[in-house]
Amino acid sequence: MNKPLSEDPQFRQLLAMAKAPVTRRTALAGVSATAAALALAACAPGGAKKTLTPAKDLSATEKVVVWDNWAYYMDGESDGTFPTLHAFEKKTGIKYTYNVNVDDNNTYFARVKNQLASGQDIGADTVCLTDWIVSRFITSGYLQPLQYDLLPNVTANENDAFKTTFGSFDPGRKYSLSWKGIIAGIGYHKKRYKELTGKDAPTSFDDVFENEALKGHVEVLSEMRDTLGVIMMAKGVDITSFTKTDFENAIDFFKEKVADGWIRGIKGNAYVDDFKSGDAVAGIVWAGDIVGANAELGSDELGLVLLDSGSTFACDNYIIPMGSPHAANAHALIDYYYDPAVAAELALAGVNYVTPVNGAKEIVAAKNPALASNTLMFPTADDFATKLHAFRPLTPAEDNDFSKLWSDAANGVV
Amino acid sequence: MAFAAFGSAPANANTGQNLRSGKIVLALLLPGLLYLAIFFMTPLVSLVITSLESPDPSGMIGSYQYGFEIQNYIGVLTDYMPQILRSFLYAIVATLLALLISYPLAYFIGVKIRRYPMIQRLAVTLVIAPFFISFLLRTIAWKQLLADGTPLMQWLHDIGLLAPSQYFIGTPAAVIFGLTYNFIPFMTLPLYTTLERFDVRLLEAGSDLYASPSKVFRKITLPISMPGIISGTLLTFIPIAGDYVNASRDFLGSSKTSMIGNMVEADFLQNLRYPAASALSVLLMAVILVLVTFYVKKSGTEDLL
Repeated sequence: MNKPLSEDPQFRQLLAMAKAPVTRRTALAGVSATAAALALAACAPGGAKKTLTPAKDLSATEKVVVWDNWAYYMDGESDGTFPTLHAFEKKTGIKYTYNVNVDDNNTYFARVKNQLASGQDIGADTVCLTDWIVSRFITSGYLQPLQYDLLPNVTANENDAFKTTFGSFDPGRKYSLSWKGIIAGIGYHKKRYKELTGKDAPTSFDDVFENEALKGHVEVLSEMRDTLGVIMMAKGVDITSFTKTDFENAIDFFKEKVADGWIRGIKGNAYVDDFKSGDAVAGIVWAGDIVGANAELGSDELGLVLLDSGSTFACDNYIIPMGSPHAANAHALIDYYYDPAVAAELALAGVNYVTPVNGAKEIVAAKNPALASNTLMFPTADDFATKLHAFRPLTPAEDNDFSKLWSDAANGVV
Repeated sequence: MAFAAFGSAPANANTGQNLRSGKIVLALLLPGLLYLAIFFMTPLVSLVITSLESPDPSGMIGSYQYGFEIQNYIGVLTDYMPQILRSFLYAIVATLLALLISYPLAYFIGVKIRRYPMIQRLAVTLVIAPFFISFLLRTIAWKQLLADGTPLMQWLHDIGLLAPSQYFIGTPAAVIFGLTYNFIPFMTLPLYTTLERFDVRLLEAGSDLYASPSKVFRKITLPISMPGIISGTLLTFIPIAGDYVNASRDFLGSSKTSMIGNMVEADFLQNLRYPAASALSVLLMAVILVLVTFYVKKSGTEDLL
């Protein structure tokens, strides 16, 4: 039944080419192409650990400093004027570059990890990151030790709570200094909360997580330490010394609340929009965002309560990577922001997070007494001692286990 | 001998020419081949290598060393089976919905309003127009339009389509809606390009031969538009299966709608489990490759004739 092959010479030639055996040359070409691809792929760094040392400091000749930070953390950010940074430049002659480059600790880390791990310049002389990831960097030896002789303002004005209780991941603050403190508590939409529950404000954890009326209207933070921290404290666990079982119990509680539709959203900063629109009525949120959203709305539509059982408190911290070539300039920048007058100016300009600088509150009080008495921005010593707690540092093994457990729970993996 | 020489002489001449044109062809191909080697082969090889890595003895999160851990693949398969199945289920449903919506639309633009080229061009522009706006922005816009308190949702509650305690954002329906909406242009355009050239006289011929309209559609229109249907479904199905925006908790999804893309994102960016994320990506690629090969073979040209 085979049809005779076509006599067309072109067709014959094509057929011959198709049938041509793999010659040594073509085989070699294939092998070398694969080898080249492999070699390129192998260029990706990994393995090979070495002890890193600080890069040569060029601060004396290069009067520049690059600072990577999170959004909504600087005065004049919306129009790019940066009054306090501008004043810094005038005062010291160091030219600043301020980049809103951090939107997530992990994604920022993923972007710079190769340079960071090999001690090269990551493109920023200082960057503000959260406690737990700074703790990882310290363990890995990625950070330059701080030179306190360059930091007179820090020595004079650092709030003791930021140094000891909330700096426990970096004993003696050898490698990091707080930029701002972040409180996570129970946020709620005042009007909608009243409509649904008939009460003015939640007073306990169970008011939100066990009240049938709020089912499906609760949102929590996608930041594991804040959400599970608040849950664990509500269950009577001390988050500065919890065990694996405590953590797993909290995960189970969380999973159950997600599975039965109680917790509707698990989000990063995007939760603010849901609270503004009223989709989310109550949940675990960051205090600074609530203050900011109210300022934006022009009325106190959103509320925040610090539970008696406890709220989490974490810091974003300045660090100087090993590869930074302008360490002294970075020190000058950090020290500048530890001046109470500068810290007060930031608070007055609407940076609504907790300042680690003593003396700022008094300066704010003189100009805006209401702001200074807002305990979400200026917690009292009593708040620091009893209501605000830091999630304890994790061992590398726990870090691996817990973040997988959390991510699975948040993504509905059973 | 002379015979043989005669016979092979043209062939030799041919080879000479081939050699020359071969070099030109090679020179022309070189940029493309280099591009493929650097930007496709290398990342692919790197991906496969990463997918087989084992944890670093130091135990630091995110540290891995070269290895041959097939277990990584088994791990993600057992961990994420519901998400994998869900991805393909969503992709199939969204592709079918896109086809059902796009086919009449493409037919209308390509055939029905052919007589008014101005309107036809305008209609095609309208189909493409959403491309001018970022994919993310469009999805966020839907998220806001479909939020609880909006008039649309209010109306759905009023007519009883949604129970008082029900909401739309975060449900599988919202995710499938978003996927369908976002990929409709990829379905409409290939359908439009095949239907645009469709010879309507064939329809007249069909009805002249007493075929019912549905029979004309089944025997003439559908087979002729088959290439458009195939490329359209492929162009929508493949990206939908790997999409992670619509199903993300920050957009239209919730914890209960996670797809493969969301798990790759979580493992890569949050948990720093690079081998697991790579293994999942390789699996997704392999499954899509198999499905598409099967699909193209099944619906290939030989079946159309």
